[in-house]
Amino acid sequence: MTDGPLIVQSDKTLLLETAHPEAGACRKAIAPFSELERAPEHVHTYRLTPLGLWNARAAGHDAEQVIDVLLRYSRYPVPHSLLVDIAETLDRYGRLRLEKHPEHGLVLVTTDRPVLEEVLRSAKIKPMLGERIDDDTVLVHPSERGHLKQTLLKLGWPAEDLAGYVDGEAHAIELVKDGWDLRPYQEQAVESFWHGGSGVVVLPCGAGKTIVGAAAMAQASATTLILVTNTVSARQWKDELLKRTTLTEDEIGEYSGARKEIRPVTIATYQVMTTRRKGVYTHLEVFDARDWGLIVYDEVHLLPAPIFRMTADLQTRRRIGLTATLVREDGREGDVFSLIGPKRYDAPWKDIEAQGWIAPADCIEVRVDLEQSERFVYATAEPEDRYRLAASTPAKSRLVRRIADHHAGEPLLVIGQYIDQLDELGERLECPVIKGETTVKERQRLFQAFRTGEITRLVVSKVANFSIDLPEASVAIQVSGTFGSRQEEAQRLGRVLRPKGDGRTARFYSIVARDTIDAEFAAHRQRFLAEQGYAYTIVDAENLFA
Amino acid sequence: MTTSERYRPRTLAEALRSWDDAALGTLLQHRPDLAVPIPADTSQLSARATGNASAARAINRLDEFGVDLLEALSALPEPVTVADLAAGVDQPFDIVQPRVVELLNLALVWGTEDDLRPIRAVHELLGPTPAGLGPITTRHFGDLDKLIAEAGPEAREVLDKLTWGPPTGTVEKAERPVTIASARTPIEKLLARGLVVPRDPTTVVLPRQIGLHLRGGRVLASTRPTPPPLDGKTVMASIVDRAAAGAALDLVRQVDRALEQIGLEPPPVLRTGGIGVRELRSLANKVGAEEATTGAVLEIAYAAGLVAAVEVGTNELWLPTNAYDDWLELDLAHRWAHLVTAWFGGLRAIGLIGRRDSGGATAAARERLINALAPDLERLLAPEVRVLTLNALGETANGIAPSTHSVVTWVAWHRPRRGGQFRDELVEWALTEAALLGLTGLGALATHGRPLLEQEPTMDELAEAIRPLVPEPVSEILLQADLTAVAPGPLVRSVQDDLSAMADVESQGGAAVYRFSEGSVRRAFDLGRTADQLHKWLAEHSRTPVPQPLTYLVDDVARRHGVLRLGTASTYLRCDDENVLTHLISSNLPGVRFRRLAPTVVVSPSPPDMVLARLREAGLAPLAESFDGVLHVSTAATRRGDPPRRRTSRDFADSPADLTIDQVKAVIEKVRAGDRLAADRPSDEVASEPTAPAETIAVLSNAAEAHTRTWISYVDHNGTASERIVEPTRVADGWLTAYDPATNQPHTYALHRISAARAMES
Repeated sequence: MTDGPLIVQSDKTLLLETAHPEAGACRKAIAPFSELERAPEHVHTYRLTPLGLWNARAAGHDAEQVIDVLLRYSRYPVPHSLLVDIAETLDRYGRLRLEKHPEHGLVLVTTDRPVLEEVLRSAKIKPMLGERIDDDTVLVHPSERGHLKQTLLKLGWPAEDLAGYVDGEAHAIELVKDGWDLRPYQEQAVESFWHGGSGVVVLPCGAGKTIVGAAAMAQASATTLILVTNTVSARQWKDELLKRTTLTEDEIGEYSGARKEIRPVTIATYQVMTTRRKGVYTHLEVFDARDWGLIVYDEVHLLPAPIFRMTADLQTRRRIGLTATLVREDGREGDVFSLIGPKRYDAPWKDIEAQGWIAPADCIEVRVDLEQSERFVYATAEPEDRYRLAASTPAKSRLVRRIADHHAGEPLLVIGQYIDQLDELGERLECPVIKGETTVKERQRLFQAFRTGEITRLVVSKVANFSIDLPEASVAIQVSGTFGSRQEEAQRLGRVLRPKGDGRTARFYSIVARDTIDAEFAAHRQRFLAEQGYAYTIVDAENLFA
Repeated sequence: MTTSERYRPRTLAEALRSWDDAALGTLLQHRPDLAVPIPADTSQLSARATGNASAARAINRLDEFGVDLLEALSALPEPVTVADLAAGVDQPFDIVQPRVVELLNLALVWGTEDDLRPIRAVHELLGPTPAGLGPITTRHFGDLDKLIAEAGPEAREVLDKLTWGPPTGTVEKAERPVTIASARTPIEKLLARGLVVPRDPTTVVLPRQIGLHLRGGRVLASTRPTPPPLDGKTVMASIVDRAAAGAALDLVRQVDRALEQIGLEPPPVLRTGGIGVRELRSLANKVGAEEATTGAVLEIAYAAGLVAAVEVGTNELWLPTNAYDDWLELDLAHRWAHLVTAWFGGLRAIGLIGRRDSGGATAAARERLINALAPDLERLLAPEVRVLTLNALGETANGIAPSTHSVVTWVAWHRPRRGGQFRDELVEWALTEAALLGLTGLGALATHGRPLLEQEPTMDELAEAIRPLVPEPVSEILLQADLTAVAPGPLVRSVQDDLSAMADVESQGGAAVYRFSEGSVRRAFDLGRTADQLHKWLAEHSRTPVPQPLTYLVDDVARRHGVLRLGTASTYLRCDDENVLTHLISSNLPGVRFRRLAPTVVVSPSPPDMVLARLREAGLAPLAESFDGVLHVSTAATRRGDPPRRRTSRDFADSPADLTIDQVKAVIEKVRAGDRLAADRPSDEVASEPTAPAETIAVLSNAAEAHTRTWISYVDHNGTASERIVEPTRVADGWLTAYDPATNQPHTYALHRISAARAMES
């Protein structure tokens, strides 16, 4: 028995005791093949999943290394069945490979004939393959490269894609490093991606994913298609690219609901790409408009299903996915793996925070009591109305005011879901409200004003959840949200996590109505925060600032 | 014993009489069945030793080479010397000789080294064609090579086919008379020369002399005097032990969890014994293991006596036993040792679970899948194979994990005559189970599995062997802000019990992760803990400061816990005048207890009528009300019983006594109705035919419209068919409503019971 920092559980979770002197070394060793699931203060939980192990395999780790790491750091004996399972799982990746054959083009090659026989018997695989060239090689219809990888993953035999990429149309792009430089982890991220060919880079909000994208473009120096979640985000990408690269206004096109420009670097929104008219995706031509050398997917965890289908046809282009988390609420992590590529780089939030790139945050949950009359209404309300009732109690508005007064002068964001409530808050705080109907221009104006400190308070609805950049918000107050989504929590936390000029601690308040469904949802979100390692406290409204 | 050169016994009995005590002792040790019951004398001992049953038992325990020697012995023409035998099996004399001595010691062979005689039972048990050789003929052949050459090359091919057995071939008219001159076909040429002989009209057989000659003097094509090699992958010895110990600890945990779960929700015992497939699956889900593993875990627990079928009321349930509680008191190492010893000697062939029982007594039993814990899982061969399998692992060179195949062949060599394919399966299962029990790691035998290779290790020896790998129990936990508690090792029992009361297990292994939730904390309160106790306990047992959200959670749940209270009372009293109730409580009515719930409400566990009586006695004027507040007036209902039926002379009379007028009437009516029916009844041929359902409904509907009488044939719910004549009034919803003139009342009849209906002329 050793005295290691790691405890390997039979349910394939790994518990890492952070206070252990070897914890740091162990974390580095297990990070490539396990996924950090929870990172509360004392014991971090990592999980071994087939995808995680395959990600590791793709990065060149083998079973022996993985098992050796587990045994080296494990405090207790590791169950034999688990080791066998790990070895078998790892061994499944790469038995099948997609390669480019000098004569026949795209082929599926196996190093283990029975595996090929097994997948050939699958009715789903059959139509994607052509004739069998020899015992170990089968022709693949080039159009099925993506679908084949998807289906093979589902069968538990993920294929390694070594078929290479087309270079695409060359276009000179260089980074303009005037007074800034790539941070070491950004550099590593780009390098890992380029080396792997295609794949996903996981970085927390505020860690400069856009710059990683720009650096990847500079590396490719080819025409690039960037897919982003919405128009605001598209504009921000454009601004950032203009600032960080040699690209000029004329070289960057926007392909959105409002504009349809196709330029050497084109930024398209998921929304426009997935618009259908009479059941037909009308904007598919973007994908073929140019001989793209690189495709950038922003916020991969939000990638809509139609984009996956389109991506399946783009397997000859280099693809980089950027995201803060690989966890998808719809569980389609496997599609990200097979269609965009394995995870190429991942940095735990806390590590980056420790390096000083992200402001540390204090999370505070404040509980307010409903008034007697409200409690009565709540008790008798229809279940579907209850959340709204609890989430928009006037008690919350009063409390927001108190908090805002306490933090007078600091940049402060109020985030909520219900427009009535937000409007009321806007009035109470005497500040503008950004919601769905606010025009993009107005939004940008307000954001800019907020950035410059012209205004210090802003009330935003969920439209602000994604890809906005509010660098100086140091206080965020969440009054309501969609039903306990971890995704949303990550985004919201991201808002206040952007680096602060003076190293101040950011504060993240959630206001929750006691003894209601609101508190239940809040518990769900908090768990996520605590799991991410953010200290949080729960305070009753009357004790706040007491 | 050694055979004497001077003395040549004529029978086995005679030989045995000359054995010394040590030799007899060895014999009895190796063939213990000879001693039960105690034989009266050597003749009896000899008779028993040569008996088929005992000999079979001894032969079945021989390894492959031993059986080969016996086979060669019974195939070779007597007298056989050790040298003959060595040539027959094509092995050096020095290897064969000691093995022959062994066979002599086992009394399977008797005689001397230059005249070895297998006992008669050996011939019988090895069959009529030992080593695939045919019967001995009395014929004298002379120069066999020449004879064979004369028969020609085609005939030689036939002989070659028969050489290594089976020595028989099928031909037509095998017994036809042929001479060398008349022989045409190869078979005829052989028959004519006696190189094959007819056995029956359609079979020819190769005589043993010819067979042996063709085999070049060897009886067996190849023999293996030593077991086949055990080979496999190389594994690191240090990893083996740790991996095995991991599995061992996992098993102990799984047994614990499974039994705890069974104690909470005991699954019923199936009629055929065992636990239902569905129950097993749900148990597997709760334990978090695969179904097959859970089945094996239960079987091991069953072997260890930790779970048993118990009759509870009218049901039989699977329940943890008292031994389970004792087992829980043991330390981890001893818990494991307990399970291992129980498994090692147990008769349960666990791998049979989920298979069809090919040995079932009835066709239905053979069709049925065998359930876990079913009585039909016991196999005598199972423990024997387990010992051999572990021996195979023990024989393997250090740092080698032998392949399953090589272990199977190794065991098969040691017991060639036991079980066949089933034996091979048992070996595979034994390997799987050894891995599950943590006796092997990565396929190689762990150090702590070695004590099992010796004779019957004690529980303590096994426990000591694994102890260095078993983590020490801890009594401290780590509390975290995400409301989890991590026990960084196996918890001391009392701490574990306390913690499980207030938090739910989320992950288990070397350590355990517990999660606090509103529900789990409430559970602790329900069990009578208070918020203060919880805070104190957490502070005492946490290695780290108690996180604020957890403290808040405990207080928050405590705040709401017990806000609503309920209980049972038989009677309540309410009164707007509080003074009346105060007076009542202080007045101590005899036999009635009161508790004040609110200023105006008092409850009592006594029944209302009693309270009412006492209150009236006390001079109060209460009014009873029902549950919904309505006035409840009780008239003094005087009670009555039913009179007993007394027997009268009628009960004993031979003939029915006088009928009452009513009875007579009823009888007559019945008769009359019968007559009518007979008169009105449609002709026999027509009536006997049932009408089609659609037609029935049509006939009845028409009759209902026209109010005509209709004959129906009706089958009542007892299955009794009767005929009636009715006047239908309504046919709907599957029912016929009709007026029955016989009883002067309307009746309803289920349409599907009406087998026929005929309209009658009005």
